[in-house]
Amino acid sequence: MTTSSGIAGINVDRLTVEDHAGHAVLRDVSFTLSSGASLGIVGESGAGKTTLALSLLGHFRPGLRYIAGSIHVADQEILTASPPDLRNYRRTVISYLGQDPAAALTPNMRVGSLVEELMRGGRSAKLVNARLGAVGLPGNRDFASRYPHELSGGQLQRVAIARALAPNPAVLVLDEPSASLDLMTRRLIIQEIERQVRLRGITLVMVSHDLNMVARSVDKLLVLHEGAVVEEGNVTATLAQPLHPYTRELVAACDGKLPSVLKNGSGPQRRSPLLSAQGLVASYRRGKERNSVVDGLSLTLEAGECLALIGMSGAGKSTVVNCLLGLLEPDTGTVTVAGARLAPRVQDRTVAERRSVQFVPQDPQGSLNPRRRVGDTLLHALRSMRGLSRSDAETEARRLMERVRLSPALLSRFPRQLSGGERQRIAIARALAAKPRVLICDEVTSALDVSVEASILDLIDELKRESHLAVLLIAHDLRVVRRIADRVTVLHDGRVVEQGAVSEVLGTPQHEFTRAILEADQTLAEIGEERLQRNPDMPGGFETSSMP
Amino acid sequence: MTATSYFRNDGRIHRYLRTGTGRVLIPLIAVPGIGVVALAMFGPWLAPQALGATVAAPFLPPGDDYLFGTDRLGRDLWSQILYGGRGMLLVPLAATVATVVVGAAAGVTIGYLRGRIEAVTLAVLDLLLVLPPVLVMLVLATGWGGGAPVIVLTMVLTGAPFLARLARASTLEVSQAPYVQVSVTQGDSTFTILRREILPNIVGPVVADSGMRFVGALYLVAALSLLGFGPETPNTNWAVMIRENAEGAGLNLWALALPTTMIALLSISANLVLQSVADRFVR
Repeated sequence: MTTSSGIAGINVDRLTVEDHAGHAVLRDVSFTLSSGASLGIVGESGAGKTTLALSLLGHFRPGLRYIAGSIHVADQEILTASPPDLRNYRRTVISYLGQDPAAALTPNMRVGSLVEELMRGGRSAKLVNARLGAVGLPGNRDFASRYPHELSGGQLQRVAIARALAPNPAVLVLDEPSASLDLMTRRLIIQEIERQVRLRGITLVMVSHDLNMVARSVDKLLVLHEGAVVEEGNVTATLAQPLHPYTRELVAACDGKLPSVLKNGSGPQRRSPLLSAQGLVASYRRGKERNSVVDGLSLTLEAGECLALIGMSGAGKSTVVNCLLGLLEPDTGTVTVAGARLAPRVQDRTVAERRSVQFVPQDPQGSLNPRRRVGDTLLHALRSMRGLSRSDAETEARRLMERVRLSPALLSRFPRQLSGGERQRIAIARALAAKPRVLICDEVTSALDVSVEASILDLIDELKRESHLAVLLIAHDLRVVRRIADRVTVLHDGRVVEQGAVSEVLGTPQHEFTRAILEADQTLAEIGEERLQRNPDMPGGFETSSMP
Repeated sequence: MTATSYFRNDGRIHRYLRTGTGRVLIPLIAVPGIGVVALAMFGPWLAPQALGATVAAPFLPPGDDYLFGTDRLGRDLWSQILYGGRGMLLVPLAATVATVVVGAAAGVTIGYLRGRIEAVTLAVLDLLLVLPPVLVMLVLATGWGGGAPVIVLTMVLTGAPFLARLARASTLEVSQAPYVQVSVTQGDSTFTILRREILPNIVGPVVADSGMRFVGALYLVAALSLLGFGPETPNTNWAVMIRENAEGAGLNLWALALPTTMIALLSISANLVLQSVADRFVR
């Protein structure tokens, strides 16, 4: 088998991995990948994707152990290799790029040394510069002598790529590459990786929950569900005709179910705005300099309307949110709710004013206090803001749970006993406890799986309609915007570059970022067509890696 | 990350105790540990002889009448051990509690409020950090004697800065959490935020550290007693017994070995117990 898979082929045979409680994390996983081909591993969080990716490096996270099976990479058995052999293998054959590659860069090493230390064969400043140049970075001495903190996010990602490619690996493993980046930067980085992989004939294994991205970049697809392979094959064929129900669900969640006609059209008739921010300017002080993050932003939001705020990371979205919430005092500008001007600092706002604007944070991990039971969190919000008695608050908490479609039995749970989607529903319930008029949702679904994402968005949409809430939604992709937003505001460098009804803005995109975000939203069918056209360029294309 | 990594680096013995072979060892440490704590606490009620009563010749070896023989003044050694434990347990305990309360309160407050208060408080704390505890204790003891207040004050002055720094570092991390932001926007007072949202999430590292503080306080009590500032006769404690009976160790080894063992067991078990409690908070 291994001989047929060539110099850097991968052959995984009935791999089974268990955690120490004896639950199988991977069950009888088998696949082969020929040298120079690329494989995408998709599945929900907890499906065993990362475990499989790390096992290719002969590594298991603490608490996991492998029970049976074998992994051959480049004709080498990985799981039984001795520690020195394994080190040598990791250093010369395989490279790994994790979720946040930039965080893996040692902060006190210069860019040049970060790349140079992993290079094999000759080492010289010239070669290092050439490496940096190859990933689209300035290949000169000045750049090579910088420290990671002196670079931008996109540059850090490129340095991480240059570092991963420095040992001339035959196999590259990407685990949710640049998942933490915004769309535009992510697209550039993925393109860069793809280019390098094609150029050097590297065997690529890419783990992701973003089907859209995987469909774009790999030849072969492996769908994991609860630790077992449920589908395997050519990526276009698999996505066009998914066999397993789970794959069908994934594909549907990714684009099938989405209305191509916008759900909410151009929104209701314009009336007097409920929330209005005028001329917001906000900056952070760094030493004596002031860095303007938001520069003269104005937006309005009506009751029963959902406004999506989109933009790259660093565009100032979170700063706007902090100004609206009163966590950050803007330099100039005003925030009004229903015509009444709010104090710039939350400490100076009245209870009624604070209640009127509520916030659902991004990260379901951190949005709830891990040491408080869910019920305690809700009761505290109800009692401190609405002044309810204990028994009234308890009744109300149960009602809120039903409102966000959760069983009241979960009130006695701790956040760690809940799933990400459930936690986010609780965070929404906590915001609703205040009976707000404006709900601010900060990328509430970005850490959730697509199927869960849809249900959370539908919940927010329903709340908006029923309670006539004004919803400000910070979003980073169009799936979210299309599903529930009425209007959209595109931010770039702290300024509004486009604003209007969703159909208008997305129909005739003006700004570079809006165009990029639209491109990333192609349906799987469109991606497939595009791939067919450029297929001949792809080494190890469909023929070599198709189903046996 | 700071909060959790603190334990991970610090729990080598604990991790071993959780493994298969290690688990067998737990009773070997826990049973004597619990025994020592119980004896220290309830000893005075169990003692067969009255406090400080001379009952036989000095330094008699263990016999039928006296379980571990007698000490320098011919007192029943076992009774003296039973009388001498409470001070060794309660004084360090009080000192630890005071240190933890003062240190954690200061650390959490400055870590959350930041700004000028933090800068000034940190400067003061850093000044206190360089003071050697024994020196501080001796200076205080010269003025006010070797009582419990001196030990408590010494521990608060020299131990609280460590705890404050630890609590501050954990607070800096926790106060960035979204649930703290939500709490702010929902209008909770600073005190409510510290008590509800922050304190429960930094208790783990603080409790783990308090194990070390307890051992430190125990050593201070021992050092003070060894240097002759201890409780006045007939009152006694294990450290005083070590000092007084060292000369007769050749005649009755127990007179020296027993109080030493008791102090060792007490410090080991206190540390392990507090670490286990802290581990619960990490999860």
